[in-house]
Amino acid sequence: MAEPLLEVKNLRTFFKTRNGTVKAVNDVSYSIYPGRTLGIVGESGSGKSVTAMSVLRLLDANGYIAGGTVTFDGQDLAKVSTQEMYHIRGNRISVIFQEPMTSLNPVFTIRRQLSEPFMIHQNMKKKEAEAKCVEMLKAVQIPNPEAVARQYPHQLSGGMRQRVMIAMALACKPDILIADEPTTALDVTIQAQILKLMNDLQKENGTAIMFITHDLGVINEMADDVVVMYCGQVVEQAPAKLIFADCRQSHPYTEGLMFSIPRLNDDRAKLDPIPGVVPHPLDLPRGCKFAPRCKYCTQKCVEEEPSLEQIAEGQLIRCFYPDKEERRSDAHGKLTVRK
Amino acid sequence: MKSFTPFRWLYRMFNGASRTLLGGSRELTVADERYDSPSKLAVRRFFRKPLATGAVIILAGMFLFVFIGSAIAPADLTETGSEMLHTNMAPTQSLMKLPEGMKDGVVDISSRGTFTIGVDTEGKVSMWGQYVNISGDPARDVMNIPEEVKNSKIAHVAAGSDHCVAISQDGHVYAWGEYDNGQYGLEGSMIASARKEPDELLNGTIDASQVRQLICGNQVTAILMEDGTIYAWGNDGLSATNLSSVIKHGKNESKIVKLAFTNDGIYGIDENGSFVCGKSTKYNIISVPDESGRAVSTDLFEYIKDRKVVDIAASGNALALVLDDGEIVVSGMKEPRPELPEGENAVTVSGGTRHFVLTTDQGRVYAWGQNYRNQCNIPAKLTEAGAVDTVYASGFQNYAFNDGKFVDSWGLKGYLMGTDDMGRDVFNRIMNGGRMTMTVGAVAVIVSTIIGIIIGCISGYFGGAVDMLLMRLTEIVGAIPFLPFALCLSAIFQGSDIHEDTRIVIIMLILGVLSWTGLARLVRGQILAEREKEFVTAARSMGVREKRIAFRHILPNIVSVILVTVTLDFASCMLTESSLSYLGFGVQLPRPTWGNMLDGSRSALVIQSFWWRWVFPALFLSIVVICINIIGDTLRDVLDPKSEVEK
Repeated sequence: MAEPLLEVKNLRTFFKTRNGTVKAVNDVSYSIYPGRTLGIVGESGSGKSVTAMSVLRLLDANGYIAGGTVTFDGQDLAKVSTQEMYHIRGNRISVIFQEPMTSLNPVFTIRRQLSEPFMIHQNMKKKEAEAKCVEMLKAVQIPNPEAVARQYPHQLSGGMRQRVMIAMALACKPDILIADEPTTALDVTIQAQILKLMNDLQKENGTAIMFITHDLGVINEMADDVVVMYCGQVVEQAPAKLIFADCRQSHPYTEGLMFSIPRLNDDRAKLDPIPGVVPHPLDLPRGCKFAPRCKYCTQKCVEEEPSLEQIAEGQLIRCFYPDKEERRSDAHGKLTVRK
Repeated sequence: MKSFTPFRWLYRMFNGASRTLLGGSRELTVADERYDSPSKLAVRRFFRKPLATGAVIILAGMFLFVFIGSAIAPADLTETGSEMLHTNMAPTQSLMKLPEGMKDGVVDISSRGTFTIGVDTEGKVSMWGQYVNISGDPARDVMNIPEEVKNSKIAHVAAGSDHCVAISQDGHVYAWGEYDNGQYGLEGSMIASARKEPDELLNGTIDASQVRQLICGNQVTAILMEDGTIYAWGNDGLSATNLSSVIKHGKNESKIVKLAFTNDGIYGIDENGSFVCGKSTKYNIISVPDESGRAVSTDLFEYIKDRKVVDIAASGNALALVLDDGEIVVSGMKEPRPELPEGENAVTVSGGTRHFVLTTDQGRVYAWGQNYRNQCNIPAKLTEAGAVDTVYASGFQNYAFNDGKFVDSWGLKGYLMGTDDMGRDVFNRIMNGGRMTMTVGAVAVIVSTIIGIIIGCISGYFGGAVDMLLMRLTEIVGAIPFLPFALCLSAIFQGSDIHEDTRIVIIMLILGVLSWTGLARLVRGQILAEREKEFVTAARSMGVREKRIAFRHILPNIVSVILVTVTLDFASCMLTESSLSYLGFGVQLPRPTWGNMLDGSRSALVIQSFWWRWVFPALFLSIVVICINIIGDTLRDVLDPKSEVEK
């Protein structure tokens, strides 16, 4: 495989709060390759967005990178100067956010906002940038782009706004596009259109995409590689094919996520959700972080923390019992505290 | 990015307003509003409120009135701007209203100050204009013509500054009006008389057919008889010395044939054609152009040499002498007299209070002197040949007659809003004072807005220690007691010899520097709320720099809030300026502001008797402040996204 475009190694991002340090991202590593899509899956609070924001150093004031490296284009983004960071953000790495409704500045026209990246990163004149922005709107398949350019965000529908956001993110033909739950706020038909658009644009420009979502269905559509995160840790990392093909080994959390997806060809009467909630970040369990919710949890899981192990080619799992068959069998000494 | 946002905003406002005002018949629906820009929407909602629309129109009118008006008629801060003969005049336009009965022929018209007296060919006396009777005593009211005067045929009249004198055809001398300074010649204040004893006059009869001239100074009166006798009485403080010396001259040396009163003296010409100035040497130096056209000073008598003076006219502070070769010598007036065309000669010269008028042998009129009250704006038709044979220049008005018929008049009609205690035109001061008040208010608000926005933005966006520091600074500035502080500063600057313009700039800065705290807190609060919004993170992820995010991305989102506050602040800055000036610490007299115009109205006398001096500035100030407040409140309503769309 080619050289990774972005390599995150042992990244730790902590937040100082009044009640203690929240380890939002704890020892996370992954790589993004040119032209490929890395899907990051996880529940709310699992640290997916913080990982992405750490890459761009857009953490809140109380957040900081406590360790690890983020290597992009030969330099460690955790250490480059703020000035250099301005040139990377939006130019070489850009982001699409979850909320298209609020991610656009309500008081400016689309043209004004969309021409900004051209003007700050490519030193274009206003006229040029505005011409470019109509071009971009065309590229994200917005009908009647000249008219839309003159409109304000509140005059556009959610799907249109997300297209505008994509257009803005891709304006400078970035190497990496971080899509932070870009379709969560959209309804399903629009979701499909946006995903198709992103796929098409990726093919066209060869952009690498980091696709953050909690929706495995979307990951299936989009991702080449998948990182599953839980409580600030990577619990499983594998090619998408492997995860979605009913493979032999997986993390119980991934398995749980898979079971929570409704399927058409499914004969289960009810969905099978993962019980419980994500533990509070200041009160993480001592052993495996997933142990309190895991139906295969053993005494060992409660006491010791498993490490991320390479199980198969390209597949890493953080579990003492990665084999599905093995842990489902009666021989597996699971705690019987829970049903 | 470079297009200047306020202009765009104004353009949009204008567009929206004109569309709303002109296309009023079109029903606007909620659906329409969905497709409008936020500002257009706000403007549309704004102009749907009749009160706010009215306030905008009134305020715009005020702005135009004040700024255009003051550009056309700038305040005259020199001595011409204040006319001591016109102090405390009520609003009127009747000073030049020649009564109908007098238009068919007059014997004389006379005026020195605010009222005019005239007598027509039938011997009927009329008075017009205005007299400010402070005492309220009808016996002192000069406009109150005595019954005897009304009932008898009058031959001569003359007006002083606060009294009138008339001589009837049967030889009675009447005086009325103010009497405190001997205007009636009573209580031994008769000054002197030449050749005849005053008893004859006191008995009230003289030979009216022998009266050559009846003439009044400010508070003095003189009657010149054909035989050279001069009867004179009145205020011996103003011009007595000169008066008695002139009378002595008439008594002992040569017969006086014409007299003229300036404000502070009496001058005449005698039968030999020489100028009689008594003891006064005030007008003995004149300035005449030499061969190269440069003005040089020469002695009047040397200049006249052995030429004869055939006529004399006086204005308040100048004399005009007509010499027998047709030359007119003017002394005491800086405005140049008009050059007559070749072959045209002056026939008569008459003096108003601040100007001279001459008629020529071709029936044309020329006027020169102070023109601040339109005294020299001769109507075009009077400059044609043969238009006029007589002009009565009296006081500040001129009445032109041809063949005994009234042709036209020009001069001061009156003061639309009266005058103040220095005789300054209140209307003019309202315009210029309004400009000053609004300018001070606007500059102060601009200064405070800039400081407030910068401090609020930095404090709100960057937070942390910076925020802490700036907010403490805000509290310190906010804790300074405004009025005492401003009074102190202004008192300090008053003592030093700083130019008045600099002082005004300092006042603006003081106002601005002390009033930004509210806005800074407001901006900080708004920014704290806005910077948590997604679009800020989005902008940061685009690589937009912090400063640009704070000022170009977040700030426009809170412009509406700032706009409302700034509008209301503008009103309060205007009021603060007015309070300062009212207390005498703001802009200093004679420069007008609405505040220091009110300052002159602190006495009960002014409040009671001279209502125009405080009603007009107070009215204008309140209208403007109320309008601005209505606009500000309405802006707040229409810019608030939560305010519902109206039915």
